[in-house]
Amino acid sequence: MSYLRNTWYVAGWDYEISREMMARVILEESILLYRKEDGSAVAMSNRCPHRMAPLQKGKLKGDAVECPYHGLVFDTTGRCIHNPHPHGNGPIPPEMKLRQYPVVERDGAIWIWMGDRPADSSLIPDYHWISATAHYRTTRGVIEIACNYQSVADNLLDLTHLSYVHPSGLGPNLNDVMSERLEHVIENKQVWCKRTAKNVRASMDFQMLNPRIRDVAVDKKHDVRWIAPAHSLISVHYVKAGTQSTDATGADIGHMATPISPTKTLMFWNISRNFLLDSAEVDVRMEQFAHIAIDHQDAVIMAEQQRMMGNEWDINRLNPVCLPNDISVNRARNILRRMIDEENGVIARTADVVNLTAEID
Amino acid sequence: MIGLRNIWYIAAWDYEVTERPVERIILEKSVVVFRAADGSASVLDNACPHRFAPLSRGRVIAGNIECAYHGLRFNSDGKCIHNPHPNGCGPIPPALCVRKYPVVERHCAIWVWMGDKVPDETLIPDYHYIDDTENYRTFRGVFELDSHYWLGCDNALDLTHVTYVHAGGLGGGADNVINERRELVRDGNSLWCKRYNDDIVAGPDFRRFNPALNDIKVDKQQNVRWDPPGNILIVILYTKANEPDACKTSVYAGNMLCPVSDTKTRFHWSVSRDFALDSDKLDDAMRAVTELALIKQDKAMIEDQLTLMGTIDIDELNPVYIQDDVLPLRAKMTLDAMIKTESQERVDEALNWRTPHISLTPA
Repeated sequence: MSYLRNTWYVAGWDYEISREMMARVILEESILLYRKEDGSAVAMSNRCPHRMAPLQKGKLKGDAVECPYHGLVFDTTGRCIHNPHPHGNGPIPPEMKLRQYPVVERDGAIWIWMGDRPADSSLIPDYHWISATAHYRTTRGVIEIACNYQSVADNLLDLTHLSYVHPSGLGPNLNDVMSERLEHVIENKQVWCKRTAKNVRASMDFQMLNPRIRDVAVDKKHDVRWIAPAHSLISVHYVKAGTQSTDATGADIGHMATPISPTKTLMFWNISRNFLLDSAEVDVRMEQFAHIAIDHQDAVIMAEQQRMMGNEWDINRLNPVCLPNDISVNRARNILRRMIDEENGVIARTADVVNLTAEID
Repeated sequence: MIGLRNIWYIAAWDYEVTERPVERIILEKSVVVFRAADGSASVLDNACPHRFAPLSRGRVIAGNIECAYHGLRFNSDGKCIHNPHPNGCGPIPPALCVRKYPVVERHCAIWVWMGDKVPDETLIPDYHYIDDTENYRTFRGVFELDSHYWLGCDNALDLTHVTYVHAGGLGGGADNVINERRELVRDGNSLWCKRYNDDIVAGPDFRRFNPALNDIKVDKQQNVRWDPPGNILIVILYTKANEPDACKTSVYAGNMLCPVSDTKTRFHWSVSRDFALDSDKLDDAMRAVTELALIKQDKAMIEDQLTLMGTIDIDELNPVYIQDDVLPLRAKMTLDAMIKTESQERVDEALNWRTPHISLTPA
């Protein structure tokens, strides 16, 4: 399956990567992750080029990695710096090296660049809420879901699922849904699904988490933004109904989907709230809320969808019946498909063929 | 998987189907089974045509099933009748429907027709013992077998295994089978293998079930009926030796195997008797014997066979046949021929549709 490669994916949260080596499969490649003695993160191929043993099971020698099978040692650029055979100092063929992946640590995440083109850190999407601890309090986690990664964006770009998948909590009151204004727009290759509602109640979960909006009428702004290849950012904010307050209370919720394989996804998520920053009680409630809404509701329905789709990873090849609300879902899929085609040269080649035909005519 | 489609399969026992939808997989096809408030059962394709979420995770509202993902509702014909977005009354594209399968509730089971042809109710095999509560007493159940359904049929169709797999219980001693008379009878779609043993001692389990069989010699009939694709009826009939009207004791055991996949089967079973109709205690005793035989002994054997064979058709492994394989072989040949006819008919039909404007040039 082809993926967008010249882009950043989240390989792990900062707290997951340590001096203990770990391996993660990203875009079907097994990747070794650890930190150097100076604390910076390293990502390299996990497969020793000699007999394909997993380096993650080996040992760290300072910053270098020793393969668990025959003891070859690689430095953090992927170069083999030691072959113990024979006599503690054997020859090192030039091909004996690991692919090294560019890595950036930003906003609590270890970002990895999977492409061949030069890595461009300005392309990392903005998740500043996670690191701006003076203004936000963040709860975050990661879950492996048995589904194609694009199902995550499908799920979030069509929030009409809220009342059904999250009936008692996140879902808005059905009467409130009817008064929502909904706008689907594209700005800079980013797909937006903007919802506003006036004079409604906040969803039960947000009322429970935030006493300021409990049992009062509010104006609600609920935007979902998709950024290629697989970022879905929700911004949900409330003000007291009828006030033009700039002091909105709410949360910025990020979902970073990292494809493992065509039918497996690692989903990193964060919920950054701008209220009750010091409340340990809200921290606990937020954890519980995320556990139910993500692990027990969204992840389950997405895995079940994939089960019904079998090994097919592209839902559009199964001819789904589309509804008006799928507009953002399909826009995001089209943009991503075009980006992948461009990267693979498919579009350039198609253009060549068209030109050729024109000449023949 | 390979299987006969224009035929009835048991999707569930009647008591398994309620207003709470359940998923069943038949010939690798996932379907949702539920009842409307009026009691009628429906079987629809399980994948919602919008984003392929399984409808079986949804709920039944006024006889319609609501998808658990975005709330689309489908009626019992499989047609979408409600899209809540936006404003509680969204548009419904005509393609928004799921396949509805013909259903018949009979003999306490939900039978579903998996093919494209017009369903033929006369093809539902006769298990009236189950619903004729005046003359019979029945208990029944279902379990999942991790094996190919044909290996399950193979087991029930050759009852010479009873003496060995169910040694000491259901089967009598090995000497009982030596003087057996046998006949094979075809009756419409059904195949019967009838076995007669005269002047023998009843098996220990049956002497316990009906003490009248103690201390006497009996004539025993052990008949097996097969109906395509995986429906078996085992009739065990004891009478006093040489007195065909005395001590009549009969048991009608149903094994209705529903293929889930090449490696999974839903095994529905029933046991009906025509004696001691009021005895709960006898139910318990017979249930214990049945469950031991089916869910412990037969299940283990049939699953081990699959482990050794893989999913390949047993006849392709050149098994050595012995005389007792006649019924399973006849049944298998019949079924294979039906499957072949069915696929040939589809091919012929397709050729008729698609090629009228293409004339083949003779060589």
